[in-house]
Amino acid sequence: MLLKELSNANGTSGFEDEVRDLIKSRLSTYRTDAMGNLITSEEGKGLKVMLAAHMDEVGLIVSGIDDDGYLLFKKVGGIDDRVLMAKRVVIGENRIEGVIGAKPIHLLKEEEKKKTVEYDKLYIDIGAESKKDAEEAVGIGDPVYFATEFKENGHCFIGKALDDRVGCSILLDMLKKDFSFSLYGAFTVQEEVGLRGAQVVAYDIDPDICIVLEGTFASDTPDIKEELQTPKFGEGPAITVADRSVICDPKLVNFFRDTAEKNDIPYQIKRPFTGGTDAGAIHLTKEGVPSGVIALPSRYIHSPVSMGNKEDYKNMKELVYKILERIESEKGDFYGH
Amino acid sequence: MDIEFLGKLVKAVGVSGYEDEVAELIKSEMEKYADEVEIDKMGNVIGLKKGKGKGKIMLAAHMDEIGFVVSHIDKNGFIFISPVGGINVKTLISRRVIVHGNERYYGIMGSVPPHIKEKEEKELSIEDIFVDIGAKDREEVLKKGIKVGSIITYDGDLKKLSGRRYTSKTMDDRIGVFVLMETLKKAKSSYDIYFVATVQEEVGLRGAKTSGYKISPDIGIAVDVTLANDIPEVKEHKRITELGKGPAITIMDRSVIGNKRLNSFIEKIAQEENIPLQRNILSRGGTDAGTIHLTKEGVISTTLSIPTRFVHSTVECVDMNDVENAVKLLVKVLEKLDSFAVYQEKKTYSTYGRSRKQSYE
Repeated sequence: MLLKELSNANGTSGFEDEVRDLIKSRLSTYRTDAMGNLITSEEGKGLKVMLAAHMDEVGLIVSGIDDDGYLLFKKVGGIDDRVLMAKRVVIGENRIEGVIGAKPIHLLKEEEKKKTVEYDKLYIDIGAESKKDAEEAVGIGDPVYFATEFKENGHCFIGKALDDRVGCSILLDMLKKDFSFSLYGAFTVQEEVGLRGAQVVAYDIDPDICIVLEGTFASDTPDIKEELQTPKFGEGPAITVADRSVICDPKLVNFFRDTAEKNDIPYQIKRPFTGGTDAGAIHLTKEGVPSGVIALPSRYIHSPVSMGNKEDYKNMKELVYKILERIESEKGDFYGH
Repeated sequence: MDIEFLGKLVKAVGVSGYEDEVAELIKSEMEKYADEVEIDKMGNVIGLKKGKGKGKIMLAAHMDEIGFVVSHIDKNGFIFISPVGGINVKTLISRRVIVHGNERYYGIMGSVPPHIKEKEEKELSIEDIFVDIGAKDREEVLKKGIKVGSIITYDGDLKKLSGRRYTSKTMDDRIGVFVLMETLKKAKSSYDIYFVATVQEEVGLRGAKTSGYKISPDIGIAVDVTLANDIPEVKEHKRITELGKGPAITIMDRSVIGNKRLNSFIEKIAQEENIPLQRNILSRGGTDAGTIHLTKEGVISTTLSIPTRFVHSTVECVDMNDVENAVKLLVKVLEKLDSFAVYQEKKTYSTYGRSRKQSYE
C-alpha cells in the first residue's frame, strides 16, 4: 500500500529526501527545483491546474550532545511538548534508535507530576556510554523522527505523518489519470516551517487555480466540546472555507461542495480560521491564484500517532477526481474562463 | 585585514530605514574593488565582481542596526522612544545614546534611582525608558531639530579586548559587511559575485527580499552573526557556538533551513582547507537567507555566521580569528563553485506525450 510506504518514509522539513525518492520512483517524468520541490507537468488545453501536497513532516533535530552522551534537540514544525515524553525515535539516515527519556513516577515530586516538561528540558537517549560514543553514531544537525510504524485496524489506519502523506498519496493517484487540461503536480518541501516550498513552486508554475490536498485534524474526541467537533472522523473529506493562512476562493469552495453533492460524496467544512496550509503561500503568488483546500480529517496530527479513516480517504480521492473530471468537462467555465 | 575600516564601519549610523550614512561608506570602499557598484531603490548597496558568466551568487550582509525612534517628547524635555528591531530592554538602563536632530546630541537613558524604588518592581518595558539630553523643557528639545520620528543610536567605538577579540555596538552585522569587503578583495570565481549590503534586516529581512529579486541568483549566502553562548552558567552542549572555533554554517533557524547540499559542499571545503567550522541550530532568530531562498522559483541558500557574544546589546563581541576564517572559507568556496552542481533534477522519457501510465505501478 502506497500510503503505508509514504507514512513510514522519513522527512522533516529540509530533509525530505526519502519521501521525495519514494515518490520519484513512482513517476516517469518529473523535475526538482532549487528548494527540493518535486514537480510534474502535463501540458494540455484550457485551465492550468496545480495540485499540491507537502512531503515534509513535523519532527525534531539534534542540537547538542552532553557529556554523558544524551542528545538535546529542537523542534522542526509545530509540536505540542506534551506528546514528546517517553517516545521512541529514530535519528538520521542510519536510523539510529533512541528514546525520549522520562523520569519514572517513583522519582517525581508532587508538583512535577502536574507540569508539562518543556522540550528543551527533555533529552534523547540512544544508549550511548559517553559523549564520544554518541558522536560516533549521530551528529549535530541530524533529523529525528517518531518511530511509528504504519498499521491498519479495521476501518482505520494509524501512522505518523498522515499530515500530509495522505495528500501525497492522493496526488500521485490523480497523476495516473489523463486529463485534457494542463495539470501540474507539486510535492512541496518545508510546509511545516512556514509554507516555504509552495511559495517558490507556485511562482514557477504560475497556475490559474490551485487545489491543496492536506491532512487536517479530526476533532470528534472526548476532550473537545461538541459544538467545536468539526471536522469529524468518518464523515467525509473536509473542505476549507478559510484558515489562518488563506480565505479560499468562494467560487472554488462552491464548486467543490456542489461536486460533492452531485456525486453523493459526504463532505464537511473544516472549522474556519484554524491551522494553515500551502494555499496560504500559493494564493498570494504573483497576481494571485484562486486556491482551495481539501483535507482528510485525521485524529492526533502533529504527534507520533495520527489516525485516519479508510472511508474518508476513499471519499477524498473520489471527490478530488470528480472535481478534476468536472474541470475538464466544463473546461473551467465555473471559473469564468 | 583592514581593522581601521572596521572601526569606521561599526561607528557609522544606520538604523533600519536610515542606512544612508553607512551605505555611502560601504559604497565608496566597494568601488575600489568591485566592477560595478550601485545603491538600489530600497537603499541596498550592490557591488558586482564579474566572473565568467557561469552563474550568479549573492553574498548578503545587512548594514542596518537596531536602534530607536523618538515617539514622544514630554513638557519637561524627556524623550520617549519606540524600538527599531529586537531590543532587550534590560540592557538599556544607564546607556549613553546619540539623538539625531540638527546635529548629533548625546543623551542618556535614565532610570528611577534605587533609593526611591517601590519594593515590588514590575518588569521593565520599553515605555519605562526615557532619554535625557539635558534639556530644560520641550521647547529646548524641539529647537535642536529633535522631533517625533527622529532616530536614536547607541554610542561607542570599536574596542580591542584581549588577544584578537573586539567589541562594539554593531557587530551585528557590520562584521558581516566587513567579511564581504575582505572577501571582495580576494575573490575569484567563474560566477558573477554580487556583494550586497542590505537594508532593514532587523525589522524583517526586507532589503534582501528586493535585492534578491533583482539579482535572481543561483546561490545565496547570508553572512551574519549568531549566538556564542560560551559564557559562565551555560553548559558546553547548550552554547550553540563558541568564540574562536571558526565561523558557523546554519543547519536551521527560524527563517531558513540551510540547503543540505550547499552546506555539505561548504563543510567539505572547510575540511580540505583545514578551516574550523561550527554548526548553527537556532529555534529563534533569522537572517537574510530567510527571504533570499524564497525568491522567485527558489534559491539554494544558507547562512555563514560569525559567533558573537552578547548579540543585540551594545557590547557585542567577536574573535577576529573567526572573521579571518570566514573570509578564507568564502574565498575558497567562490573559487571552487564550478564543482558545485546547481542542478535541478529532471527525468523525461523519450516516449512522446503522456508516458506516465506506463511506468506507474
